[in-house]
Amino acid sequence: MTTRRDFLSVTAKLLGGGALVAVSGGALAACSSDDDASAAGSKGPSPVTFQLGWLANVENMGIYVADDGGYYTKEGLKTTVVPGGPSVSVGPLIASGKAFVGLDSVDTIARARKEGAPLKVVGATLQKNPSAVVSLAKNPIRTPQDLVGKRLGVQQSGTEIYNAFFKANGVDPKSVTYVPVQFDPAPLVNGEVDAFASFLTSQPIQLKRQGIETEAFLLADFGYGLWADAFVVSEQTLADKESRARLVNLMRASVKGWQDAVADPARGVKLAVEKYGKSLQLNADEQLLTAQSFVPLIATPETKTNGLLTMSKDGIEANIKTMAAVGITATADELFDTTILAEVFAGKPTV
Amino acid sequence: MKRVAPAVIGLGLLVGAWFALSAFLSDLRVIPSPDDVLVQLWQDRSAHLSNTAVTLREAMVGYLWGNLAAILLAVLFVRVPAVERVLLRLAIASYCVPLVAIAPILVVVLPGDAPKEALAALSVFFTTLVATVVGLRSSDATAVNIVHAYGGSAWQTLWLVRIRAALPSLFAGLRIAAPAALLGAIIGEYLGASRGLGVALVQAQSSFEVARTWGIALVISAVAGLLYAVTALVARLATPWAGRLLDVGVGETAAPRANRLLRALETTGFLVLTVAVTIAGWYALLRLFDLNGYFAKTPADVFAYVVSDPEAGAHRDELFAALKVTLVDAAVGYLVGTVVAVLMAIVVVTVRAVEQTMMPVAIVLRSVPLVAMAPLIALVFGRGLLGVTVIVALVVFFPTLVNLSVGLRAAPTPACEVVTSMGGTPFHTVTKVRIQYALPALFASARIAVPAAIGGATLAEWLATGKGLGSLLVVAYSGSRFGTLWAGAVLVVVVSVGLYALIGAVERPVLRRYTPQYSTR
Repeated sequence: MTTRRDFLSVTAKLLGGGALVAVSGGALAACSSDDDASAAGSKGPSPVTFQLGWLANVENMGIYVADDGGYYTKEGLKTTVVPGGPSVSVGPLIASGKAFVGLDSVDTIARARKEGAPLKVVGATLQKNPSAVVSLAKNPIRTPQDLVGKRLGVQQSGTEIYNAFFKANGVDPKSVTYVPVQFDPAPLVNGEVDAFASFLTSQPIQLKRQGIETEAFLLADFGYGLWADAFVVSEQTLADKESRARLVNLMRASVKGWQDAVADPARGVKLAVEKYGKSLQLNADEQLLTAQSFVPLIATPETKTNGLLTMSKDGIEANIKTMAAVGITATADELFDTTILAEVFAGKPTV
Repeated sequence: MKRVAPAVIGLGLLVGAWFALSAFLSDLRVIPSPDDVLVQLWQDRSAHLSNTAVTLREAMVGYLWGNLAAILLAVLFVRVPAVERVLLRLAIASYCVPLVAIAPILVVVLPGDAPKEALAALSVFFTTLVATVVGLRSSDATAVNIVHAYGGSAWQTLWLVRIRAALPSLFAGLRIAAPAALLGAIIGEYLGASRGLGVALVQAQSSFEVARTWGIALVISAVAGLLYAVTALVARLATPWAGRLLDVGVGETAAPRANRLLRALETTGFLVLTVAVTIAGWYALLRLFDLNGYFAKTPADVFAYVVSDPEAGAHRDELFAALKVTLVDAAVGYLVGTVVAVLMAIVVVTVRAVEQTMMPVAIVLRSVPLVAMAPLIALVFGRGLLGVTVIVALVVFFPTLVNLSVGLRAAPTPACEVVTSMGGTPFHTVTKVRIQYALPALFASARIAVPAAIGGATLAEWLATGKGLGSLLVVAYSGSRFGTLWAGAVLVVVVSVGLYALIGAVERPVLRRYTPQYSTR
């Protein structure tokens, strides 16, 4: 009997201890998620977390230039750049306040909003969507119509988008065979598919380096008007005066970083290869080619007049129209907030 | 030397097969030649070293906490069976809940590297729990009775008999856990990380650096194999009595069974209690961390989604249609994986050299991340049922093989000697004696392998076929359809827990009939 009672008291202590651990864990988590807000009142730079959508490759070079060049520090921010990955979920990180700003695709943010997520888009890195259909040069596919009767390797999350894309281009989606793939282009090279839906502009360049010639067309050239690597923040950040001011500062520094990176991609490449993506063993030549292929997607005629990361009226309309085709309803005022960039640029095309 | 040679032969065969295949399939560029991989491996050595250090640290922290929690809970389960009846189903849930459902929550509530460590811990927790409980229970009933008869308390029984008997099984669990922790940490890195083997793997795969991808996969396998070997060595040193039990229990007369109605009532009571604890804990966690309702759904949200929503009917149809596909995928893969593992275990126990040849091969196959192997498997076996079966069977095969070969060895030496002294071959000791002693291990394997088969099926559906629950959940996740995601996750858990209970229901009468020498209570 005694042993049993001893045991129970031990159990109670254990459980109590467990609860303590859980509570302190909660406190820790709370601390870390409050980081962004708590330092607002104190002197010194405010810590903010910048959540990327993919690995730390050259795709984010403008952010590296801003971070490494001290642009964020000059704006009173202590920025931590956190890379993403294949399973990253940017929305929850932003909505919970664990990250201050993140990069995600516009349609994902719109879908999350439909589920009740308090998220808004405040800037757009890639004015032209980088999604491309890649095929082998010996069996080239140059238009959506070329895909009729062919096998297209596509991520399962992308099938809805491709259905809408084909319909918009007068192609019956049923006439294309979808094969589920991930980010590895092996099924294209080994002939399991005729074309590969790539969301990384870098893939044709990387394949070329491996001695594989490819052909590619951008979805954006066939009416697909969604921005990519959009800056997403929580509604709370926009509503609170201090955090909104910090966001304006962060966007200003980010624009400046991108201006410099677009002007001198080699600087961004160096940072990606030697610092931010060091453990990825990136190839500098290939990253430079990738960076150069990115520049026309980021710096467009529109950004020449409005500034980088801009969200023009026409652009917003194109985004909403493209999403409507997939069944995502969004209105401009709900999903986009253009006032932050308006403050950043103050009527000029550069900062 | 005697022990090393067979392992070298096994791995040599593997490398030989690799050379042949890479030459034969060189046009497809899916299999790089071993020399290309070696050259690349050497060039990448410093990056591999630092990435391995990062991932290994995450895996070890998870391994430590996951196993510690599992062992403590197992002792509690054996000591206070009522706790087991309430919490076991929750423990199963921790094992089979789809990672895409909990990943966003782990990332939001845990700081820094902790989400990766938590995923590593989750990957080992349940397997170790089952192994420990089975071990603690497999003690000879006679020995337990003797301690009791001499006035020993329940705690003394635990120390004197049960732990001693449990250690071989516990170590079998820890061995399975070592590569699992590594894979858990790698999956954790998919959630976003700046360093680690998982990050390097994703980059290499997406940029079609095939030789580098294989090099990283090799590093992962080597580290996993090393962890396995170290655990096995510790097991050998710590439990020299394993496989050399001399006591042959005379058996215990089955306790008179309580009346059926009473038992049914009791079972229902515990089930209700489990559900209540789960729902209360679920709400408590959401409140404690104050999670946003758009990605953290409550039990009421899930209920609404499948029952009371205007579109609940359509939701249910979607979920059940996907479930049907997943169940077929899991069942076929489970059967194939188990049959192969049973046959292999019998061979392994009969011919010692085969174990030393095949085990390293099995470990290598187990520890290569399936995400890296998926394009190859899809190419070779297609994206139909065959491809899925291969993936599920791979998941099922390893834990079953390890548990069964330990179980087959657990037969008392005298009983086996009776067979051999009468002219029986080692194979006869398997069919006549060992198989009975391995039955508890077979059931223990099933308890791990059946939920694992469902997990493997969802993985295969995501990576290869694009059908079933695995595909539905991933699409829901990437489309921020968290209602679908949570309902699907709950469905997976409920089905897995149900199957687990079914195994228990079959296990009891079977063990009572065939292995009366074990106390099954």
